[in-house]
Amino acid sequence: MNALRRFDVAIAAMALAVLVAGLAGISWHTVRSAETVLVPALDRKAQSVARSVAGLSALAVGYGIPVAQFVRAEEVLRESLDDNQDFAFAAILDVDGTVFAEVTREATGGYATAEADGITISTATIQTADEVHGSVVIGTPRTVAERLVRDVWIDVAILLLVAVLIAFELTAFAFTLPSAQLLRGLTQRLHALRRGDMRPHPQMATAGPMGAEIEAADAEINRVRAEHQALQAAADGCGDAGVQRDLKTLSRTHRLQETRDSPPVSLAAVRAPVFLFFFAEEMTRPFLPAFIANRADPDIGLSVELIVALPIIVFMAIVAISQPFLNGLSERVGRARSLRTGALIAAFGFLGTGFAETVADITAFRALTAVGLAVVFVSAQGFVVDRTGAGQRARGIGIFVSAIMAAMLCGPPIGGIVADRLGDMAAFTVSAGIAVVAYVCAWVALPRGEVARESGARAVRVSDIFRVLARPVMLALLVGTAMPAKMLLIGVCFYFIPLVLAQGFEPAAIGRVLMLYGLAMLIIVPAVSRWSDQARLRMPFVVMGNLASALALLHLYIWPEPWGAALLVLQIGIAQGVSTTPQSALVGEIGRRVLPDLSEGGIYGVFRLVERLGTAVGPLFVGLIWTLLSADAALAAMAAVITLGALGFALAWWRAPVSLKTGSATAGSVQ
Amino acid sequence: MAGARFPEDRLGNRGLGPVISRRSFLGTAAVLAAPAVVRAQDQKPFKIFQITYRGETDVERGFRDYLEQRGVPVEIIHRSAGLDPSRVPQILEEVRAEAPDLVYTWGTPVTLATFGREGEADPEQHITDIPGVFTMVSAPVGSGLVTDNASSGRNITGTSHVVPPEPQIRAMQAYQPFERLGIIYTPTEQNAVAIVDAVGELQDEMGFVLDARPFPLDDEGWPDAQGGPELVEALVEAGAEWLYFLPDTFLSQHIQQVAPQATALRLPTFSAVELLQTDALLSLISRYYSLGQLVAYKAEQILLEGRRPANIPVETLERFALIINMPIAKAIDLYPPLSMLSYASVLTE
Repeated sequence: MNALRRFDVAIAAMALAVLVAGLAGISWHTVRSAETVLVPALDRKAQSVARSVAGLSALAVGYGIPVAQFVRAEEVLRESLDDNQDFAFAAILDVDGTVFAEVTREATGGYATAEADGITISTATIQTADEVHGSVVIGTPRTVAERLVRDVWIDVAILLLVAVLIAFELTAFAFTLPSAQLLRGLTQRLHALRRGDMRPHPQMATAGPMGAEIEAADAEINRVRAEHQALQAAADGCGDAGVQRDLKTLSRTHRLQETRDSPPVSLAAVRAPVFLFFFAEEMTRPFLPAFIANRADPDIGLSVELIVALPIIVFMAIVAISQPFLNGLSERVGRARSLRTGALIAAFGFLGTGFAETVADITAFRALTAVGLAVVFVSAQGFVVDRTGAGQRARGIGIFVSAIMAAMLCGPPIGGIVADRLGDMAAFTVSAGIAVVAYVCAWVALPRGEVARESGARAVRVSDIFRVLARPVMLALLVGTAMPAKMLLIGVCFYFIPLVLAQGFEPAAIGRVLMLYGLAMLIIVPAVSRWSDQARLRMPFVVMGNLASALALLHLYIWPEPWGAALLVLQIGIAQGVSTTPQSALVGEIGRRVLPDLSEGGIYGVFRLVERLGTAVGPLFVGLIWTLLSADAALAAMAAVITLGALGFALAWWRAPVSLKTGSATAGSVQ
Repeated sequence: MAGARFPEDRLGNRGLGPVISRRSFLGTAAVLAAPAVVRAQDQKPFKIFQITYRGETDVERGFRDYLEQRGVPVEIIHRSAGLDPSRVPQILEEVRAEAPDLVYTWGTPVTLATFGREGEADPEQHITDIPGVFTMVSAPVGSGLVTDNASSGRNITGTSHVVPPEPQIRAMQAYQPFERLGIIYTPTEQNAVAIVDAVGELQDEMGFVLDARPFPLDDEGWPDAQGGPELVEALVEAGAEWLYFLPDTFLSQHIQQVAPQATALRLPTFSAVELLQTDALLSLISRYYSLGQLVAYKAEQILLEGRRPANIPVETLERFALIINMPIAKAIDLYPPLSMLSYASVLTE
């Protein structure tokens, strides 16, 4: 295993080093040329606006209106300021250089203090054939140029980060291709032999000269093991204690009687299609709410906020409710085939959404996308579950969950940049294209043959739901902590925030804010999951995580946008990263104790269902209160639900029988 | 409604100088009539009989130029009523003799005399069997010529030159906001009374008070322009901030009794007809030349495409020209807002 990892790491590190070096060079060059292009462009823009106002002024002078008698010149200046958010002020000076009319932005000073305020001035003279009558000046703060360059840096940094992550995915994907698998299999064997490790390797399909080498190595290992066994039998037969001891030592140092326990290499094949597919969906996060709002028709009697929530609610509800049903279907159809079909369905959904003109169309196409997404999710999960035993399942699921998290990190900023540059319609088309690439990827990499399921997680039954929720502790854990967490994530982070930010920011900026959730999860979850394995920390982690996520809402009132939203999303990401692993562990542990006759699969099925219902309820909850009362009320209600839920769970835990807690503590310390 | 386009013009034509009124319909014409032009090449010319009120104007020039540019072969016979609509029946005798493909009329009196009111047209007196286009009819429905602008239901269609009241009020507000609007009108002119009513209806919505004063009538019921200067003075005393010149024939003829007094009293004046642009501080008008092109477009549809006039709507232009009279602005010391210069035309003398 170590050899395998070392080989992967070496190849990946080399590929990455080349890539990062190249990208860093390109980035540096991009930012340098941005500096040399952007700054003069800013000045040219100010110059051209100043000339245009001066031209109009000269026209007025030509008609016999002296500069000192210009009427409502501020209107013209105000308009040039409104059209160019970068300008700090615009003024008309008379021939002596005194200000005749001036319009300044609230935050900045005017012409008189320009030098002290660090404002660059662009001037155009008001001139008729032979005479100068005054001038028009436009002020651009020097910070604007700095901000533009900084924005370029941020964009480039994000692209670099995303490129690296995608490169990781592609490298991992490349290892799942047959030739790479052969190379890897051979390396694995040679490394093992060099260490004197004589355990047998998992069988693999072989072909070509490299296949022959692998077969030779395997044959040799088998021969050594067989001979060792024969010698052992012979030694046992004649009862030679010395030889027996030597053979035992040999067996220990060369692991002649051990077997390997590693998940099949083919599992990794599911990662790339899943990453690409969820990347396509995550791309739409920053601009979807505003996209719906632009097509909302308030005449149908609902507020714009609720209309925007509608397609999101429908999407989440379909994903939540259809999964148990789809699991059986994808099993019958075959995991690989259903995953591909799901990707194609979603591709049509993306494309249709991009061209939709009414909210009804958007809702219909988002519903189609939701079906596709649910199919892909269920198929990928089933693909892993079918191929792993209980011992390897957590790691198998981890492979594809981390792919989704990487997509959550990469998707929003890239989607935002695409929407900024090409428009949201084009961004949906790009999403559709990536979903098709995910389809191709799945077609290339996923094995055609199906394997028998090792242990089936059956579909959730209604009776399971009632049985699980009838237990106060389970009710408090699921409805009090799991559901509000998802309500907050979708209702606030992916619905409220993009919609509110869209009023003042470009999709790229919104995407940067939303990526912080994926970033926090990707970093926090692995770090915390080890820490929270100590069972006695689980309850406090869940309660504190949820309370911290409720407190995150305060950022919106403390900091100016977009920083408030960014800190909110980041804190929610960290807080949920802290609570999500212990929460999931608690579901299994408490469930085993209070419902010993219900299968773990059944308990987790109810857990996931309740959690996903939260994703649909979240936007509905926020949208309704937003419409009926106000945005502040919606956020306050959201905070109240999470806080009360978390405290309710703490209370239920506190009142629960001691055996439950000590029991789970034992279970935890055993692991 | 065509008139509602004014604010778009303000934004859309920034920096392009005078408002150009031809483009909107010329584009449509090019699309609709292109195949027909090819067919028209070796045809013998269409015969068009024009009857005008006071001889040829820019409308007829626009009409002729449009057809020429479109390659429509026409032979135009022109007759003027010489300011006397009672001469029209005599001209109509000639029309019947010439048997033209189309009859063209200019102004409400000539048009009514040629085609008759809707429902009252008499084949003996009026032209009913030859397709007709009319222009410079300020109120095609109000004058009883047609009952519906969308379709005349008759063998005629045409154009109106009147700019609707709302963009006119808005143009005045853009130059100099006001609360009280003065009007001097001729109570015996049906058109003028109708427009005063229409402007009156906008008072609440657009936030002003209308002060409309009629010319006094003499013993025989004829309007008297002698009291013009006093009417202007009374309006100024009552607090009127603008004086609005309607498309009013009597007022146009006696504008010298009104306009100079307004300028002397520094009362800004506004006109909605091209004729009075030299007498008013500000005018929002349909250009006669553009109007002629619009009529010619309709004529082309009838002659080349064989469309029935009843199926062609009666229209006004969608874009108007805003004209600032700089000598008056100087005289009353009220210069236009700087931004207006980027979309208005300016008269400098």
